[in-house]
Amino acid sequence: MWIALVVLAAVIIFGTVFIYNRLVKARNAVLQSESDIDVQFKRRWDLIPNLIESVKGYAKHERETLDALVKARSAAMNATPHTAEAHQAENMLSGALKSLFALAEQYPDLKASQNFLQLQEELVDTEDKIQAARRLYNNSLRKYMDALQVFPNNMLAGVFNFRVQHQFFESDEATREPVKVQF
Amino acid sequence: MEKQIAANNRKTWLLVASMVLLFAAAGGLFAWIYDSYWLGGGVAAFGVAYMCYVYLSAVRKLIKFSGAVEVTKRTHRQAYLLVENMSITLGIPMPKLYVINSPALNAFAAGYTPDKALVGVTTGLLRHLNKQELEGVLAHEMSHIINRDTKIATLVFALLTGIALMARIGYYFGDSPRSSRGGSSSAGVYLAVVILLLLAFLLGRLAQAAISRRREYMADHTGAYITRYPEGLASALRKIQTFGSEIQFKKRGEAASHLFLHSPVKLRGKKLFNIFATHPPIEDRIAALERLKDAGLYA
Repeated sequence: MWIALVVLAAVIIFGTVFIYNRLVKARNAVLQSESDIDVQFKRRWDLIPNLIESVKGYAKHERETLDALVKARSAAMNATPHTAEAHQAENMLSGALKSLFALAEQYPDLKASQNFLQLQEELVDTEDKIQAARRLYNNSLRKYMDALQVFPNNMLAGVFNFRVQHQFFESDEATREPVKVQF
Repeated sequence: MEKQIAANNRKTWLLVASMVLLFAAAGGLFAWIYDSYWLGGGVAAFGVAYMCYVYLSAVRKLIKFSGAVEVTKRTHRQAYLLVENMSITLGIPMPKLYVINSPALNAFAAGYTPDKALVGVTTGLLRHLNKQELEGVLAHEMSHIINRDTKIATLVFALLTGIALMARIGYYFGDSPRSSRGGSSSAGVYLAVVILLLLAFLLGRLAQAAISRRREYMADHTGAYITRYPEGLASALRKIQTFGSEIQFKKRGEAASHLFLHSPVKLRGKKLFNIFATHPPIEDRIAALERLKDAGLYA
């Protein structure tokens, strides 16, 4: 009789430890994947000044587009990371970049510039990397939510104060609209 | 996907356990026949050491026999970026990228853990595939890595080599009448032992082939899930039907065939439908991907 109770207690204790550890790991995976997106954002910020310089050489009359890009970059860099404001700023930055590249289509000299082409390639790849990092983030978040919500974890989650404080990344309305190109 | 990884981990432990058992049994057999525990232990220890050597040298040998060369972002930008970005999504360090100089269309994945993995493609593949097809192929290979298929395949191969070695040792020992249990009965025993070991080897080959085929389907499926575009890989497989996947290895390449996208060696018989085939027939793989496309990836 006593043995049965001891075994039961052991199962409960080990089970709790196991679940707690799993929740910790899942939560840390979300935090890490969130920071990994920032790594890609920073890469993008660092590439933009050179891009602006190379475009200025050929298209300095396009003040509006260039200024919009500079402002968008500042806004993104100054936003508090991982907030809705930051998400919005980064989306605006994507939009500003798209406008600039659409514009560049009109300047054959610019398009022939090796420097510009290289930067464009790198930035296009950076957009791909941002998407890749976001997919990992979404996957990590889903796994964390699964871990929190299944039984019996859901009972323990409350006790240990595990909560979902993140949202899935979804593409914004602004980026879904096609870029307007004016000729 | 996680279920597949968990299942593969269970299989791995089962294989390790059966490896240990096999050697204990073989060692015991030798000990019993020759009335010497030292001999039995020695043979078993030798076998284990040999299997460890086979397991640990498998990747190095694959690279050597296929003539694969590691490449950089500068020389192979498109493939490099595809692999790099996919590894970001999968949350693993980027596998090293290798290229095999061959007109055949093929690719491979290798590595004992996802942290130290390799992905390779042939020059033929790079020449004939467009970006989406290449992405589909690379997703298939990355799936092998994250499903731990590369580890289990190498383990199975090491196990088989070990069994073959035991059979050979048993055969050689059978020639020398050094047993204390003399007479024709011991000749019968030797024969029985050798036959048993050969049988074990055959069964092992069948199991290896069956597991390998199962895993190829799984990698096709997982790869399609990663790219959300089964048509990419399906299209690549169709091109393989046309152009072929046979690679000229420097030495016998059958050993590593399970690590490749499709069989890199020509199989005996008209069709690939062979119980020892490591890959399912291409038509079946394409059909499975088409069903996935129709059914919807999350069905």
